[in-house]
Amino acid sequence: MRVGFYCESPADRAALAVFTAAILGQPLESISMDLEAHSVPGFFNALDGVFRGVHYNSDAEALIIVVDSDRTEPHELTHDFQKDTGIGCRHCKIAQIIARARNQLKPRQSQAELKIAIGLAVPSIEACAWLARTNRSAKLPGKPVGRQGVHRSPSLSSSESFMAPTDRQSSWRPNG
Amino acid sequence: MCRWLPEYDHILFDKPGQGQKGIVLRTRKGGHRIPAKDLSQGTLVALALLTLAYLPEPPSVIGLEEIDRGLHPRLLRHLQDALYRLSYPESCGEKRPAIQVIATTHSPYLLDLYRDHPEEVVLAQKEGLEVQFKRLSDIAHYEEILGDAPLSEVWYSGVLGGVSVKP
Repeated sequence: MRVGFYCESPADRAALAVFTAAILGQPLESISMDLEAHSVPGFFNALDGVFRGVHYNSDAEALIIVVDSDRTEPHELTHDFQKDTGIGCRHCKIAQIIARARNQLKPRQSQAELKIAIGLAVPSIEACAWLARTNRSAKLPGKPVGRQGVHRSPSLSSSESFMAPTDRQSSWRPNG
Repeated sequence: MCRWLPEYDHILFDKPGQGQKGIVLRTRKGGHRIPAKDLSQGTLVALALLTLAYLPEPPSVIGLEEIDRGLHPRLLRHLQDALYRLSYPESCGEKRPAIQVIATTHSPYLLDLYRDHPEEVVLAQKEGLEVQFKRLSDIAHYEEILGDAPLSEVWYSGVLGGVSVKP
């Protein structure tokens, strides 16, 4: 499957490629564009154009869009970007930009509709992965992690998200 | 020069050695004489560009690599004006023929100044040892892709090309 990644760094992209290949259960092919943003404001400034450019001018079958939540509100399933209930949530902001652009696009020439997946990287979840890797105790202070867990999907639908939200504040760091 | 380098008020000349001529800038405050060897790279680039822009008989083609080198981003509008003075002399009241200017840059700020002139921007896409050149205005759906975003951000994203691709 030819999948494009739009995220904040080549390191994020490399990790996402492994993650995505595991979820899909098939190897990924790179697309004809090398996508990257240099900052969160830059990420959002270019997102609409990236989506349109990949839609029109690339051979991608799917585009995966991931940004760090940093200190913003993690995504909740109760958010509805169409009703503006996820104000401040970057996941909802991405979904809103994509939905708006999708309404204005002309169909792709001789290609299927571009599938979109949106992800929000929450620092606490990244820290858990780090802890597990370094064989530290998985018992963390505060509320349990992974209230909703990671959503798995055997294939990407036309607009699907995978996410790992948590109650833990973004500023949390493991001790020692 | 007053707009580009307001801290100086005069260009002077001296003879640093036998058979040599040197440029010296005089500071507006204090009248200090700063020889070219002690000037910043950006100041020297600015002097060179101003000299080119105001030559009575400039060459018909000018190639400039990394044209914004050492210049403060706020000077880039003046830089663009200087380039247009060469390329569109009639717009400055000059009667000499237009000059073909080919300049390279990696500056997102300079790129943003050409947002409304995509026909003047050529992106270089490096792939291994090969380079492909593509005029911005020739990219399919360019205006729709750009939308209201800064050109620099969209260029950096890679969706327009013009970024290095691993072989």
